[in-house]
Amino acid sequence: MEKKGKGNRLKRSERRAGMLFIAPIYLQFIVFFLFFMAYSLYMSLTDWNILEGTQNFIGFENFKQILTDPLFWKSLWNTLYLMLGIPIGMLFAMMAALALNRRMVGKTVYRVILYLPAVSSTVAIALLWRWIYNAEYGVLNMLIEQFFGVKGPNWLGDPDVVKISLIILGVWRGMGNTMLLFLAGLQNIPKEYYEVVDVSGGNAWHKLTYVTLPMMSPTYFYVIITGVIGGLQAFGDQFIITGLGPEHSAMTVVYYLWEKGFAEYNMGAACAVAWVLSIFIFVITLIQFKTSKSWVYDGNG
Amino acid sequence: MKTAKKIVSVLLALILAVSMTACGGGGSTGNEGGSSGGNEGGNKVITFAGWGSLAEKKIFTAMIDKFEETHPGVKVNYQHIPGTQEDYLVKLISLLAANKMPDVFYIHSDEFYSWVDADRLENLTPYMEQSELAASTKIWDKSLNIFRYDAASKQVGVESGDLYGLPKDLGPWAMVYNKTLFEAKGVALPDPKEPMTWTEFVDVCKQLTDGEGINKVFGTANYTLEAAVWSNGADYLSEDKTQVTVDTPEFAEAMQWVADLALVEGVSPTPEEDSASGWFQRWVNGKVGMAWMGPWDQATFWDSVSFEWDIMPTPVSDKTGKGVSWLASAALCVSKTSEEKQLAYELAEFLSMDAEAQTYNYEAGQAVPNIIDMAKNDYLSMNKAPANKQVFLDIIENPEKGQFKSVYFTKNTTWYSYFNAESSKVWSGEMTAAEFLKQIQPAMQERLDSGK
Repeated sequence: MEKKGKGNRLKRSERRAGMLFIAPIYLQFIVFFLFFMAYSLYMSLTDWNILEGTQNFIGFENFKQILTDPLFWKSLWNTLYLMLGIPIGMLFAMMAALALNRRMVGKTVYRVILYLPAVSSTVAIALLWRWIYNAEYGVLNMLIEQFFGVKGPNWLGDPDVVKISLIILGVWRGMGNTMLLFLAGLQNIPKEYYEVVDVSGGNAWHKLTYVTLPMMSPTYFYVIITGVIGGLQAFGDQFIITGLGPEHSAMTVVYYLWEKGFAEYNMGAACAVAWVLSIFIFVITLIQFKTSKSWVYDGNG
Repeated sequence: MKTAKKIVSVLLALILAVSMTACGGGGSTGNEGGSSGGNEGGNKVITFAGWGSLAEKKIFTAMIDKFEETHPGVKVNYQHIPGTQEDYLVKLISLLAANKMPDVFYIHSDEFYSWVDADRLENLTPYMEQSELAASTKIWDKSLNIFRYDAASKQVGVESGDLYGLPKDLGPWAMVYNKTLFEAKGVALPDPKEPMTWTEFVDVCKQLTDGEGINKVFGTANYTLEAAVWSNGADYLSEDKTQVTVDTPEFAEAMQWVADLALVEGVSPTPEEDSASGWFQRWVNGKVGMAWMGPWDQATFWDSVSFEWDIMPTPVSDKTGKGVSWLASAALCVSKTSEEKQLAYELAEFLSMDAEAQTYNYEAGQAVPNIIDMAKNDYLSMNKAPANKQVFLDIIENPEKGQFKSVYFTKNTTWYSYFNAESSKVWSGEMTAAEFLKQIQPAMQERLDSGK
């Protein structure tokens, strides 16, 4: 009896100490996330105009307006379109990672070069690519004319091309980061698996298709999840390089949100857009998690 | 237990999703915003916020120094907000949300309606009635009337309304031509009084246009749509500003005429050419015959343009014989929440009406003076380009030659920004102006209606 009581007391005090240790993160979570989430949810149901200071409850009016606004759907379509860059970027990053995951001279230099875009300032990159994409004097169109003898497209001025330009830029920009993740993934693959292939008489191609690529599935999963979430929130590059783009062709959902909030001062609607986007991200992420079981290798069989 | 775990993980995922999007929107709250009124070592401190070029910043710093000299014990904290007018508004909204409104700040005439209607601006009428400077200084009526607002009828620009802003300046948008280029091509210079008709204008453009690729010289560039539309007797909105009237034949004709300058006549850069090198750059490089400018461009042109230039009357539509361009202004407003309203008013008034400050402003090539006498005598006789300064004054004084953009009269301005973003369909030649305008009118009307 006595022993058990003592143990309980010890357990209790340990639990108290444990609680104390994890309190900061919970507090931070409650104060900085939960509170503001609840606040923005409430505000999305009001006609909160930041300039006029109104905050009347209007129910789902904001949501109704957004979901019936063709411009919102256009911005959503643009955003989804831009996410085509995710698989393309993964492909290139995988090739780079495979190439650099060997003993070779200047490996570090290549890695640095490929990673550089990821750490450069958005504005500097925007200026650089505006020049590359310049329809008349840009280096890209000069090369196209040199090699193919045809005039290149108006990369940033043509509504049908502007999204492709942004995808190319996004791939270039995100590649270094993805490559780094892939490199880490590659180095985590146990050597034994490759030895098995050797023993069974397989060649390098077999190693790649039967060991390397399937074993990387957890990394793909991570890259896709974060890529999709990041893609749905795309804003900075578009905002600086193209603005809205001709005929709103480069307007993303977050750009739409920004316009609601800061051009129309309608923060209530902006909150509503944020929630629509959040729910959208949540559903997509949930689907990805649900379907992941069938293709992500988790090390347990 | 298992279900509890599931619920928690779903909740966590949801939170992750929301917290990540939440960062997208409102992350730009400024913290360098000044305090709104107050004391600093026994001195009174007021804050003044504005945007503009670095040249403008220099001038306003000098003007503020003069204000501080005449007001001992007063310190003005000047927040120059770099970037575009749009960046400035975002910043101002952040300051508003943080309860850190500057005491005095600019509001562009296009944005004035929303701000005055939201009751964020102090009524300056009582201050002005007691001011000696205001009583003894004659500035353009128009420049004051545009910042009047009648709270009962919720209308701006009403002469009987109260005053909510003092004009920083009146900015007439005038056509400017490259004199050196005209002379080099042997083309007769535009008459300083008699405007060209559109037909004559296109003709002159053709004579000036020459060359290929990078070195192509264009007759004109960036022809202002307002100047074509109004000159042709059309307008964006109905008289009472409730109906979008872009779907008229006159409007379509004017818009098509502007588009065809590039598409058919080849005397103006196409959108593609313009995205390669902007019209302003082309103009500064001497590759454009006739473009547009406001008085705020004078300083830049004096410094960085190597050719001679002058301004000319707005070309007139063959049909109407009228040539109308736009006129804009920025108000110097006093925040409703300012703790030093009298002082704030005095600063706004000083910047707007003080003779010395105004002289400094026009001599630095930033504006046409607000004071009528000064504009008509000292400014007109100033020995610097443009020679034909009367064109600026005509656009200011004559309602047949200059008017405020339609967005000035509407609270919600998205109908206009939407139009501008979509109009590239016409500039690129994808649609004719008539088709486009017919198609876009309902969407514009919807936006206009939603702003009420």
